[in-house]
Amino acid sequence: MSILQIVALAVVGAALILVIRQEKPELAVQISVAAGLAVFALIAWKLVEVLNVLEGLAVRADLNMVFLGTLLRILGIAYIAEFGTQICRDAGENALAFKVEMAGKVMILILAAPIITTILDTVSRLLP
Amino acid sequence: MEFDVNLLFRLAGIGILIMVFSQVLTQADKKEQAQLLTLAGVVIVMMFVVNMIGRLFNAVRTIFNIY
Repeated sequence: MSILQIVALAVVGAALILVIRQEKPELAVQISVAAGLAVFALIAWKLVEVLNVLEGLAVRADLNMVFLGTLLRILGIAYIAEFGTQICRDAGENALAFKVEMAGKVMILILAAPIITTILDTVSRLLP
Repeated sequence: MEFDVNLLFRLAGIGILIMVFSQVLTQADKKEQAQLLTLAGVVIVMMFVVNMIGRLFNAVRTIFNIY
């Protein structure tokens, strides 16, 4: 799925949404979500390949797999939170967008907490 | 994942149809039916979109193995 198809899809989608937005803004928001999903569907498999390469490197560097798993999970949460935030902003609901963003940050912090504690432990052990 | 592109164009077609029909209905001063038609259009499009969002969440859940 070359970049040309993705850009063509996005441009056509934007044009269609513009046509519909004048009369029916409520439909336009949903179609813009559909366009975003279509673009993501096109690159989803490439994303899996990139993550496999990342995992291969982590295994070769015999990194602790827990960290990589948490990192992947944080990436997923960040992506979904950003997805929801942008949709809310498109629909004009900035307050809602901020709430979704804050929820995403809290979830990421929860996941990152164990990593932070392990880092602090190792650092304190290093220091005399 | 390929059919999402057709789905997008189908949704846009539905949106344009709804737009045109509601204009026709408002010209024929049947305002309530136009609003009902718009509501029906929104519901149909939302069904497709919610279905796509569900598929996206499953994809992200498998890719990033979030529970």
